[in-house]
Amino acid sequence: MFKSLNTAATGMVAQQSNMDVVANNIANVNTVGFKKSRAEFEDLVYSNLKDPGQASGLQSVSPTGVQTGLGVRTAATQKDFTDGQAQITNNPLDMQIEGAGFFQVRTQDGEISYTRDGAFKKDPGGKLADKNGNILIPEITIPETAMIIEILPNGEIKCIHNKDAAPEVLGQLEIANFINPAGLKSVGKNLYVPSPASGQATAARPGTLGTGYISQGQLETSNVNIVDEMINMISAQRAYETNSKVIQTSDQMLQTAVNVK
Amino acid sequence: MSLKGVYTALSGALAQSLKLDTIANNIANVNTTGFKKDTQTFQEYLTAMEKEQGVIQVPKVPASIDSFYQMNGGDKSFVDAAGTFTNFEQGSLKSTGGKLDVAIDGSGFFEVSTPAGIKLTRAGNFTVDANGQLVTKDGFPVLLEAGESEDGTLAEDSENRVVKFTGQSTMTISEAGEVMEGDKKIGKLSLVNVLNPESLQKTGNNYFGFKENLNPEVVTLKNPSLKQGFIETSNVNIIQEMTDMIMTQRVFEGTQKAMSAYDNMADKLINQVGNTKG
Repeated sequence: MFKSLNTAATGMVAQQSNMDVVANNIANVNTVGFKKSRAEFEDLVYSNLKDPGQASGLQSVSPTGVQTGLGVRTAATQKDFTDGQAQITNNPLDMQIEGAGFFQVRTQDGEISYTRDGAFKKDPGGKLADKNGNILIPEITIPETAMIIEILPNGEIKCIHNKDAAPEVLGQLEIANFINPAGLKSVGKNLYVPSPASGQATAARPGTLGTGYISQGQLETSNVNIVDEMINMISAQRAYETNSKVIQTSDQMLQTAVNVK
Repeated sequence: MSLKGVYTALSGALAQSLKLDTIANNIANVNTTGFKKDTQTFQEYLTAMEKEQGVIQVPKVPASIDSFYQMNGGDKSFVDAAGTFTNFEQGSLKSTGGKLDVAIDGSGFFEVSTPAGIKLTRAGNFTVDANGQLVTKDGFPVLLEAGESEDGTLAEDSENRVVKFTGQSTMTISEAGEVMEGDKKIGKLSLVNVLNPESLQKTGNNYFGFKENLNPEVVTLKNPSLKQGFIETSNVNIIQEMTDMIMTQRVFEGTQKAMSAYDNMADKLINQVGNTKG
């Protein structure tokens, strides 16, 4: 049987996963704090039919050897952590990290997860929490009497009760950074959890240790670029079609071979 | 009447199927970063050349057509795969904006330390591992030039030639291959060129290793030109591959026709010439 049948099949599988990644990017084009991914491919092992220098006749040696490749596989899906654009909401509890870093939230099972989605709300107890009720770490409680909430770029949160009183400091935000953010594992709901590839989280005040500053009243939009994704989609589709043509051709050649007799 | 020509046709069919395998691999890797396409070359293989030129053969058999025409084995030649050549033509550069995506503009390779020794690659889609090392997609460290390390001491072995980031400021890779983190210079990426590219052998996962029987001439790349934020796409040209595939298929069909023709001739020889009833 031809190796080409299998090789083209690996090509189709690879383009399928390419398409899956593109589809997820496009589906999340309006998701706050979403980071796009990109499928990365690498070639498979090669089968050596003839080693270089091996005799190919009585007086001739093969100068370069003969090898054929056996296809392709998806090596990684690389997350791209470039910043998304700012969307001004004027909601005092919306925050954007301008630069590297993640908000830390405690999920229902008590684990700490990380997110770039800065759309926080007050939970029934007045604590800052994300849309799914995960509490922001370190915990910040907003008093009921607070009229104006102010979040400074360095993460200090203040509130003003009435126009005559001095502002009350409610707490200090910390954001976490990783040596390899691309190694974080997406678990859905805009959350990431650390993996052996991402390294340990280092929490810091915004603006220190390479982290970004906080901007109040704005959200980070998804960093998906529709034009790029459309181009990737065209390229994935055409590559998929071409690989299917290879399967067709191999099939026709096998048919020819079968019809010799 | 001899039917050995059917083996000539068979060798042609085998050659075309090998060619299709290579085309299939090129097409499967049309979106693989830094992939370089392969081509198979073929040569005519003459069995008569197995005999030394000066040997005179005293005819011991009844005279045949071979006694009158010096065919030098041309009647029983067949085709043989001569070698696989990798086309190192530049692939086009695609902008990704990634800080750790680097494309080599022009010739040259990155050096990567793998468990199987140092290998070369053109795929510059690097990442950072949990220890802050600059690594390839398989987690193998990308090497700096020998003799330059963080503390300025001479480092020859590959363990001391890794790139290590602290993750606290922006990583930059300059056009000449200098790796910076913020203002701190970490080192210069090792970029090499191979003067005899035929000594390179693909080992999968976008790596090139060295062939055992050939002596590679590896030199440091003099004026590297790196582009940060770009990756080099595969240099496979779909139109070329599709055209080659059509041709391969038709030649394959041609060889099958030749086999059928031999089959028909043998059929006539056995069933009609030998038929005494008329």
